[in-house]
Amino acid sequence: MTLRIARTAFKNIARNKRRSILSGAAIAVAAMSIVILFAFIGGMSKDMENNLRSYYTGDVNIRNVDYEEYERFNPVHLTVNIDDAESAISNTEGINAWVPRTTFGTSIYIDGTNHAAVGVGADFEREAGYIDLEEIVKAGRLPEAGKNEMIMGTVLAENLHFSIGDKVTIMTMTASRGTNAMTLEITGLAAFPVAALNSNNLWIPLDRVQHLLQTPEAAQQIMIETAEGYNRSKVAENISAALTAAGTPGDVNDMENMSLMFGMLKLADMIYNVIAAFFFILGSTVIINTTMMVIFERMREIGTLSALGMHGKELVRLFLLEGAFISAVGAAAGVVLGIIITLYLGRVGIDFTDAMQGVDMEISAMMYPVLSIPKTIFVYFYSVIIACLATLVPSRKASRIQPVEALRYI
Amino acid sequence: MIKIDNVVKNYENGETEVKALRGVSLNIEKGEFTSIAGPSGSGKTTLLNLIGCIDRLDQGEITIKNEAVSKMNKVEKTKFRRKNLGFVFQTYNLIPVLSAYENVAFVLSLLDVSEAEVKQRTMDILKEVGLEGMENRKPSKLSGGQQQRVAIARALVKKPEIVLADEPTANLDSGTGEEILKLMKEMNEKHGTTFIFSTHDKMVMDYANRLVMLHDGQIQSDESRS
Repeated sequence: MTLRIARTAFKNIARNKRRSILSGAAIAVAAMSIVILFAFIGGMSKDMENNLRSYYTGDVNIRNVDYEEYERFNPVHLTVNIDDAESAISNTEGINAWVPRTTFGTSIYIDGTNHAAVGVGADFEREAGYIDLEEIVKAGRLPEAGKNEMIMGTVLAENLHFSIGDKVTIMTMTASRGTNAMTLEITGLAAFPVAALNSNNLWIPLDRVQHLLQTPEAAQQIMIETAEGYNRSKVAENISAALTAAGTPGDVNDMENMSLMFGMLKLADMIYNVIAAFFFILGSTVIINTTMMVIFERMREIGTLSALGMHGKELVRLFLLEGAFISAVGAAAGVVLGIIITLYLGRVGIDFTDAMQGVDMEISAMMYPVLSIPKTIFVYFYSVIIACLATLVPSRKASRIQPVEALRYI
Repeated sequence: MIKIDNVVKNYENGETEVKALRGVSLNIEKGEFTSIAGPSGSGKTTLLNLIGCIDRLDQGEITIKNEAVSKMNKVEKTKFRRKNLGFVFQTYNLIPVLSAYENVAFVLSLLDVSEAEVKQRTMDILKEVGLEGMENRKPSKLSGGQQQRVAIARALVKKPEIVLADEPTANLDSGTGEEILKLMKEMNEKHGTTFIFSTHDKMVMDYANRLVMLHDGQIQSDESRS
């Protein structure tokens, strides 16, 4: 019986091909949009996570216990002893790599004028195991430890008309709140993935920054990359415990705690699920409308089938299956299209360079959507289920009509 | 077999109440070939619908095969129709996307019948009504007479004891209409199926063994013919 109803439902789809195609297309567009949207959010989230790990916080971050309280005053004196941190890290499981970094505000002095920039002190030898700086340096080479050298963000260099080999004098406040200056040679130009870094960053050997800021053996923060499968907050807890046990407590946090934006992105993921539901409900209104029109047109047929002994629930099944066939095909087409577009964009990327100029966010100018198979499968079933539920409402209404009333329809 | 006792049916037509049946009582025996005739608005289709359990009466009682169908709920009525009643409509009411074979087989698939039996019975009845070789044609590829033959096959394939036909020849030319009547009569005689049909066509009335005349919702005459 079910098979015969299914066959009839399938044949009914061909009755008005244009209308069936329109309904399927509405579902397809909704499914495709959501697949792309999820991939875009996934890509954004992954990109932000990579950037936070590489340039801002690490998976886990160690700072001086008082740093957060005085952060707005640029407290370069509130540092972490690198040896103490190394000792705590070496006693903690789940750590892949770590780097000390010191970020400080600075001015570039050019012919009596100061230009604001951000200096970053980095141990380039250790950085090699943490991020691929060679890839980032588009021209020239990395600075050498112990030498007054630096790499400069490409946009900053272009804005200030600097090139490789130029000598640049920077000024900053030291740990003892005095002023110090240093002249450094540009050995390379760096194209950081984040627009803000390109337009203001100077990367200098950490030992030279320690000398400049008068913070020997210390760094402003230790950035840690956790090993796969390890929970960031758990690793942070363990490091904090190790530091406290050694009598050198530090402020240890994981990425989610440190970046408001990243936390919001995780929240946004939930919000996008709700948006996805609205998309499908919108697409489903076409299905509801189509089913209502179909039922209205086939009212006599409903009466006939009912007179022949077809139960209300069998009538519901007939229309439900019609909706299910259309939505299954529409959702499949939409998901396939969404996958193709996502894979293509994931390869070539979406260029937000112009839009990201002057935006201080930890997001790369080139965005690569990331396809999530579980989410794509979810989108497919979600769209089919919502469309079927949309069909259910008018179908149930039709099944309640008295056969004699249905037969009177012209 | 069918006992209609003092049946009253009123309709709301806008703000006016139409008295379609005003206390109709009638007994129909098994195997009868009965015509319910009368002018438009006399209540013949209403009476047929009530016997067919597709409408609700306001007063009175209808009993078919000793079952008080007028007291049944919607689901019980559907079950009863599925098993015991066959319908032939004036406008054939075939499912346009299904072939002649599928239209007939669909009714059997509602019952607990094996696929092999569905096939056998469907082919047999289509042959009986003269549609052999046309099984795969969609209704749109059949003439009016052929479509009504499919409808008769659909009504008879489940071997119901009662077939209700609402003006079965009204949409056909007189020649085709007569052919359909002959076919129905043949089926009535061959299978012993009770046929009740409504009409206002003199030729159709002449075919009936029993003629019940309705006027303004009441039985005007009830005569048996040999």
